[in-house]
Amino acid sequence: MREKGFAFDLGVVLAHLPEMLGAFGLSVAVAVAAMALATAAGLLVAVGATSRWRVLVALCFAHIQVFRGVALYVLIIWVYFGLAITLQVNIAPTPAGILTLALLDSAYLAEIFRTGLQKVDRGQREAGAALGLSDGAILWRVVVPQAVRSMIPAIGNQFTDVLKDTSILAVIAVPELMYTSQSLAQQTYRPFEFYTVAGVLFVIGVSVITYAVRVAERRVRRGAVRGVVAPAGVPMVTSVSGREPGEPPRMEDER
Amino acid sequence: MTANTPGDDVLVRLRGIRKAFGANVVLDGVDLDVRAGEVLVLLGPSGSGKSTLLRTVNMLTPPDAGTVEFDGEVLVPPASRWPWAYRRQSARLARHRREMGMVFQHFNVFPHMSVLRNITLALRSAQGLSKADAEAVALERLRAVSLAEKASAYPDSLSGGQKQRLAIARALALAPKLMLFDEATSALDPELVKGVLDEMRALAGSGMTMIVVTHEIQFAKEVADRVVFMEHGRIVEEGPAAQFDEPREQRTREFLRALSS
Ligand SMILES: Nc1ncnc2c1ncn2[C@@H]1O[C@H](COP(=O)(O)OP(=O)(O)OP(=O)(O)O)[C@@H](O)[C@H]1O
Ligand SMILES: [Mg+2]
Repeated sequence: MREKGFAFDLGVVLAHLPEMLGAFGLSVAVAVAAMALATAAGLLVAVGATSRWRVLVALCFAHIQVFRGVALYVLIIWVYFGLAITLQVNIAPTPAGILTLALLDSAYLAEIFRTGLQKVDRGQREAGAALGLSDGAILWRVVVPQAVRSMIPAIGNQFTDVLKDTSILAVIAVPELMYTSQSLAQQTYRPFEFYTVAGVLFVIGVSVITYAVRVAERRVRRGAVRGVVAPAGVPMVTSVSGREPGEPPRMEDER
Repeated sequence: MTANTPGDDVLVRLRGIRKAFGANVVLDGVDLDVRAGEVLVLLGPSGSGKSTLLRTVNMLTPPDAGTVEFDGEVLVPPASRWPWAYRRQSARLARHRREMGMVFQHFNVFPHMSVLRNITLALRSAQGLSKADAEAVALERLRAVSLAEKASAYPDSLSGGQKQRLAIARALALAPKLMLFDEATSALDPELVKGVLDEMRALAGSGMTMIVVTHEIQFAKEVADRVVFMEHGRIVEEGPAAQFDEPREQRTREFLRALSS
């Protein structure tokens, strides 16, 4: 160990570990809430964007373009301060943060689901139609379940983004992991240690999500559409190991 | 050789059916009547429009011109610009479609549902049966195609032949008046073809009205009350199956010779 001020001293962080873990808990909770909202909204937007109603299609594409295009930083300022100033809508920081992330990610998820909906074999819709199912039943019982299943890896990928994006809520003082790390770093003059631990917690969180996605994928394998093309952001696997490009990696215990 | 003689009442009446995909005229004015109880086999070279014609009957492919009459009613594909009107048209068509089963070349069973749910879905969602009633009907249908013990399995654990028998059971569960078969055995390994043809044969024998597109010429001669030979989107020759032992038209002869060689 060298001079005290420059040593890497995790003891300081350990003393504040309960606060750090509590803050991480809030980050996870915010991410889960935002993801749940974004999944529901993204699915509806994707369904609208692939419908036959032109006005609806236009609105859904506008939603996708706007919320995918606007920078997260701008969006959060808008939701938290903008709505208060222009519409006198005051939202507490944490709900405002959840809403912001949900809006942003509903756009990304809508694109993911849109790809998924289009990837479902046309024969599936036709079989539903030939059976005299209503348009709604064809969509929600035949097409959507298969689209969602085929998109599980991409959805999981999005979830890891949401978790990391919670760090930007520090801007509006949501006491999540990044904000808490900042304030503890200022109190203790130990920024490096606190940010490192924050980083490690994010890596752990992302790893857990990745693992959960693998498990989920395996469980729905039998219903999944094979050989789907991964949407932007998901690493494409080229056919080295005899798989189709974009087909999710196979598990050892493939049925 | 069929157990039932078709009656006189026409179940399906096609008049002046035309369909083009871009510049490709696929159906060029087809008139065809199918009587109740009749087994009609559609033959023709690849690309002659057999599948397209079959799909106009249940409006999976709405024709550009001409009318499709089913059970005395003209079928109208939903086309309204207004959601509520579209819904009404769509519901009306769906009601007719429940009376026509269709079996596809690639089975199109629902991979995310158990074998049983593949069948109960339409019974519950479209026909409004209770869960228990739907499952009773479904199990009965599965027994008829020897798949009862697979009820809780998922389609990916079935062979191609089993998938196609499931698809047949799924269509029959709605007690349709008409069955449409589009090359139901073409995607099957040779050893699995017989099982599916047996189901179709039994169905033909039971008096079901059927329109069958197939390349299984022996099977066609055996079950067909009438054979229709198509080429370039038109009917070239039609008549009782026996007529196709010595077809009248040169083109039909060539086609059958090519098929049997
Ligand atoms: N959805 C479509 N879009 C464009 N062209 C199509 C479509 N469906 C069919 N066609 C074309 O219409 C023609 C007739 O097709 P169809 O499938 O009816 O023939 P078929 O007699 O069933 O042939 P096969 O024995 O090969 O199944 C073909 O040239 C085909 O390429
Ligand atoms: Mg065909």
